Amino acid sequence: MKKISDWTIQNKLILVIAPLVIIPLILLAYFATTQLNSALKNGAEKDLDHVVNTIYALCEISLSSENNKPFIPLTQLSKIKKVVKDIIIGETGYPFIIDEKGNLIIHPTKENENILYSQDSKGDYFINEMIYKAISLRGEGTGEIRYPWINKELGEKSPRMKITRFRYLSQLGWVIAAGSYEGEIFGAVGRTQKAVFILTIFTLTLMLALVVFFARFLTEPILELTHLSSRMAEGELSLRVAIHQKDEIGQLALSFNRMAAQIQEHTKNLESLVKQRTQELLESKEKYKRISTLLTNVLESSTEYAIIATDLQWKVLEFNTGARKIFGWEKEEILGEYLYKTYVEKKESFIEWEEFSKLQAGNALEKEVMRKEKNGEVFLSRAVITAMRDMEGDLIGYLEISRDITERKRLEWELIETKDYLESILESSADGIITTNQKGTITYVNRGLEEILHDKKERLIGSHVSLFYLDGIAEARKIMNILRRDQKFTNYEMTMADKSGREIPINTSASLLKNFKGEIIGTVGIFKDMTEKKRLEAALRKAEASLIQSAKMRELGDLVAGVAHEINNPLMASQTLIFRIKEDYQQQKNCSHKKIIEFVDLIGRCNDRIATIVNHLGEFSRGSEMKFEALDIMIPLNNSLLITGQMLLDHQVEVTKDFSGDLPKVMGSASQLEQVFLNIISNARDALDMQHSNKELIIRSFYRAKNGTPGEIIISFTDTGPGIPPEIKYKIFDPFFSTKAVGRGTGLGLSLCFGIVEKHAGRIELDSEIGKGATFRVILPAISSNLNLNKEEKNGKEDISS
Amino acid sequence: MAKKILVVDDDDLVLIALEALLSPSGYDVTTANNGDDALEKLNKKKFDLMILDILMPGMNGFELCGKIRELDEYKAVPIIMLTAKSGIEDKKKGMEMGANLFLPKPIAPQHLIDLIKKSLE
Repeated sequence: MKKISDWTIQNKLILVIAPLVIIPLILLAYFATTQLNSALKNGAEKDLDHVVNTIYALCEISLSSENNKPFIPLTQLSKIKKVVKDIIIGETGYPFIIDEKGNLIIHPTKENENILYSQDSKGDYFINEMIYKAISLRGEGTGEIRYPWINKELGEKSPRMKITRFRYLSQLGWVIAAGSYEGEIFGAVGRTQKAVFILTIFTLTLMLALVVFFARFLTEPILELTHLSSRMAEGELSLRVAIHQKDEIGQLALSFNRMAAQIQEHTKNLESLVKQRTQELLESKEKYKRISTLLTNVLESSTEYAIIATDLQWKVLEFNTGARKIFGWEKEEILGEYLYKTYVEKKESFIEWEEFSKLQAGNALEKEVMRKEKNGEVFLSRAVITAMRDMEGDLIGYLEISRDITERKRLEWELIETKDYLESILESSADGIITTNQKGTITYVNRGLEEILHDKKERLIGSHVSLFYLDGIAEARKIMNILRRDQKFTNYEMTMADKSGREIPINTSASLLKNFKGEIIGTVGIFKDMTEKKRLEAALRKAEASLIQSAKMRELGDLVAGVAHEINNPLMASQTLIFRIKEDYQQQKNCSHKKIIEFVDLIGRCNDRIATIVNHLGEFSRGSEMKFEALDIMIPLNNSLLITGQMLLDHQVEVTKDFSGDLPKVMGSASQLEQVFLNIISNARDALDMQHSNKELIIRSFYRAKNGTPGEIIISFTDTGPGIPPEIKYKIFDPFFSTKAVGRGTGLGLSLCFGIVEKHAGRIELDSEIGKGATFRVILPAISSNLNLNKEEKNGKEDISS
Repeated sequence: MAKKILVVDDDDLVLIALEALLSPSGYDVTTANNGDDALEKLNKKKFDLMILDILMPGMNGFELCGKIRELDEYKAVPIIMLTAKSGIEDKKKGMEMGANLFLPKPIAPQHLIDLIKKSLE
């Protein structure tokens, strides 16, 4: 059902006006009908009462008394009967008289019948009720009963209401009544009512028609306006209202038409404006689209950087490719979630209060913070958070740009570690390490250099490096020149001076320092403090000298033992022979002269042998100090062979000598070189002693020319012993290395030889193969390569000596 | 019957001198100037005493002494070792190899004769 407010104006008018017309009309009709009704009814009742009262009066007048007993004389009664019976009320109404016992006294048809117990159509004893009511009245006034009655005599089927009014005549105990059908009494009333009703309906219909017509008349133009305006609203702007009234609606129609014209005009302007605006809109839309695409591209193509936008509650609004990659969340999963889900920190503390205030104040918040991936993995990120504001400057959210810096941090740490590592290497070096820039200003020194120079880094860095060179700037220039030429150098000997002026012998290596592009940015130098080494070297030289001395003493001991052996044999032989001769003489035994001479000769041989040995011992003792002179190498060689000759013979060593006749001289010490040869020969003998046969020792001496030098003298000793295993080949010149049994050798022999030969600017070479013997070559530089000149010199000398 | 003595030394002078010393004293002296020579001569004759030099080329006195002691008939024959060296180590080694006496060179000839005589008793 429609709401009243949705009704048409016409209906609303009808709704308002119709009651105004209808309600008074109905009220009027009702009032008129009731008034008429009651008037008619009263009239009818008065008629009945009038009949009753008239009869009552008649009866009362006719009363006579006899013995105080009232009665109506019969004559009178018949008169009354005649009167009563003549009375007809309405169409069928009539009066009657009945006594207290229900006997009809006067009735048009049923005189003398008792109807006390007659019943109405409802079954009530209405006569009895009437008599009772009548007696209750005691003769004063009239009463009334109403009852439904079917008049069977008239062949009625349905009951009609009957009204009976009555009065009690107490003197006789009669009830005087008059009855009639209500319909007969109210017949007129019903007709009047009908007429009024018909009139009312007619008037109502007429009035309603009028009202509708009036409403129509009023709303018709409005409807037309409405209709037109709706059509105009649909675009038919050329329509005009055709209402020619002078009233308000006419005014409205005029205004409407004017307005329509204006709208038509405006619309025309508007259309062109709209066209223009639409064009502009399209353009700006295109522009927006381009910017939006650009922004999306920026967001999505940034895979290294996570770009996250959130609202003011830190709920994620945007989550770009980088963020997805870094945090492992899909966009759909994280959108609407809180940003702190990507933080290790809890919701309450992932943004500190101060940070928050900073953001609010419009500052960017930069922080390195632990973050959490979707799978819970934790990493370090560097995040920049800014507040996002709209055009009015109101805070609308936050924007975070961050990246995973775990790797970078790791690299940073690695770099720091590497740097620390390198620095600790540099710092732990006992050698001084310096870097300088191209001007020679010190840019770095390590602790080693601090210690060498007894100075502090802070004082050294920034100073010019030449300040610490004993020769100052000249040394620096020299070093720089070498570096420019060779890029680097090693083992350059120089002297530094510390602030107290103490001189420090330095062995330095340096190279140019280049950056990764290969540009020279300075120099780096390593300075080895040689003070201690120099001191040690001196001590070593001293120790070596004493070692040589002690080795010499040992050699001497060996020699003495050997000499003792050599001497004891002839000594014993001669002692024994002398004893024999003496015995023979003492016992005067037959002793031929021949025998004695033979014995004495033998004794003489013994003495010769002893003399030779002793003589050689003398030579050995003289050669203790190094005295270099131009020397014929054959002198120490022959001497050594002389000493060892007997021994080699004793050991069945077959010695082959292959000596070159004329050799240039060498600078050297005969006794030292003799020791070298002795050593080598005795080693050869020891080696050969390891086998019982094939004991050969080949000794050669020869000259070898060498380009640009006076050439070399070579003395080689080749034995046919077991050879030297390759693994000890290079050890045999080491001091104290020995293959001999304890007590047999000191292990110093060959090392001393090596030292001695080195001092002669020569070298010892060794060729050996297992099972094929060994060859030691003593190679010494000749003084002059010119053999002839040598010869001439020799000749000259001879001349002088001769 | 004269006692047979074998003298082994690489030095001819020593051999001649010892032979000259011992022969007049009534010993049958045989000389050898190396170990192999000595072992050969041991097979030909039964000696009653041996004088061995230590420092000899080839087989030295100790080795020779050891080899002699391996021979059944020389297990108890007195062996005197003579040496120009006189280290205690050498003496010990000589005794280990079965030598009875270890004497230094040079030794007084009379003393040697006395010791030989004593050893042969």
